[in-house]
Amino acid sequence: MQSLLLFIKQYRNFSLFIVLELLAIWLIVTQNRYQGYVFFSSANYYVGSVLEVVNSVWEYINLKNENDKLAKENAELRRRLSQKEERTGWLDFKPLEDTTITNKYDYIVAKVINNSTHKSNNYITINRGAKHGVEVGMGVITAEGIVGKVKSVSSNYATVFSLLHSEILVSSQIKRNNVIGSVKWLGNNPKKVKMLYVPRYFTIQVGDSVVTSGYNPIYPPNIMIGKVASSKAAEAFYDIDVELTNNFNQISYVYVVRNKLAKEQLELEQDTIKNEKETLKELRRKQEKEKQDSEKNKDKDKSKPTNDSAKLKKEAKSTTPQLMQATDSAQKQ
Amino acid sequence: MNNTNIFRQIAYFFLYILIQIFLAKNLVLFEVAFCFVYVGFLLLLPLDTDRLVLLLLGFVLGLMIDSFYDTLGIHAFACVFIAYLRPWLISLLAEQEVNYISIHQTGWGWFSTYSLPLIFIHHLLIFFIEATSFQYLATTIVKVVSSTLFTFSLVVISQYLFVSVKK
Repeated sequence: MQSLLLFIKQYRNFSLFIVLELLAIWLIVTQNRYQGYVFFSSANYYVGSVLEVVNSVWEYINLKNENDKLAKENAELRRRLSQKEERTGWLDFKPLEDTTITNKYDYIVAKVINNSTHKSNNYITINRGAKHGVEVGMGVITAEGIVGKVKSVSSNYATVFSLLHSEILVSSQIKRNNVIGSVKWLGNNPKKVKMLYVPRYFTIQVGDSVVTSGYNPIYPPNIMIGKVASSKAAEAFYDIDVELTNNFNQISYVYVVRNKLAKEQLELEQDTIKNEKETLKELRRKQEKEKQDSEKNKDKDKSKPTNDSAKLKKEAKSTTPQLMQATDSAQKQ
Repeated sequence: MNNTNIFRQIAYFFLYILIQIFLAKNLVLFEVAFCFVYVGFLLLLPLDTDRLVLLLLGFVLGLMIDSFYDTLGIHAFACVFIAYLRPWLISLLAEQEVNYISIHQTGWGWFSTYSLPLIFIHHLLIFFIEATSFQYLATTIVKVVSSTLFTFSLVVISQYLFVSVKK
């Protein structure tokens, strides 16, 4: 009896062990799929507040560095402003602007309260959340370059996919010749990323700037990502190493990019894909109909003498140029 | 276990989490050695702790660390695993009579044969689940070994600093 009880006791331990491990595995596997795990992430209110306290302690070490960065950014913005004024101000000439497009980006300043660079999937936590207008999917940048994309949001905090995350691909281009590619982190070095899908018939130079392409609704175009450190010709594409301009170890203040037209752009893109599929279906239906018709005609042709069919062909040839002209004029209109 | 002991363990639980988040989280040596000193809590729990309680404590502790590291489930998995192995390993090492686990009581030899394997398994699980592939096998192994040594030395140091010497 005692041994039986002992067995049950041991078995109970083992089953609890299995249940807890399965629960953990389930959490690991599904954590990136659902937004509902805000509670168990750094965006949680209590976790966030503790992290903020931790950050306020460590912050003093980087304070001087941060001041230098802000001063540099200020100088750069001042330079651009004066350039713009120089170009347009004295002529009293203002180009017409479409304000819905020129003002489409809004920036929310946020402080980084938690950051990692040494894991294979890195996240950043910022002290701005749904209350301040941060939404899932928004881009995050600094003056030096892009940082990542918002993963989940609570009312006061948000967790951000760092660019140093295995599931982040950023549409990018080389500034010098506008060659498009995708930037991806390979998981080993927090200072380097790869630029993928650049065809070999373009020339790539070491030192070329890699910037965001503006083909996505997340980041504004021409935000710095890094500089080409080395490029090798692999099979069909180049194998390009890009050195990041952002030092991910020292990020402290970031801008969350709110693209007011993002929703519209995404909806439009999805609509066009839908429409394309429908038009393709219609085309196929038409082709099938024509096939069936032509088969019927052939049956008719066989019954007629051969001379007639030759005449028909001639007629068809003479009518085609006229048709072509007609379509040309239609296009010109 | 009497009441004062339970309260002391609860205090330790939060103390270890706070030390991990405030201090150990920012300690990275040569970009390969990380410190997960919080496993010290699981290692140093009293010998008569119920196994079920041990497993549950491991899970909750792991989940709390996961929340701060944004690695949902990974630390919980590793902690439950070593919480399950702990009693088994202690019974293996039973040759030496041990009343409670502390380096002052058990001596260096027993303590390192007990804690080094558990810390190593914990770190192995964490780094390999996190890497999700064997692509950077060498780097990951270097990380596991160096972090194990780092964590072990901090667990030892913390005992000399905080635990009063009882003989």
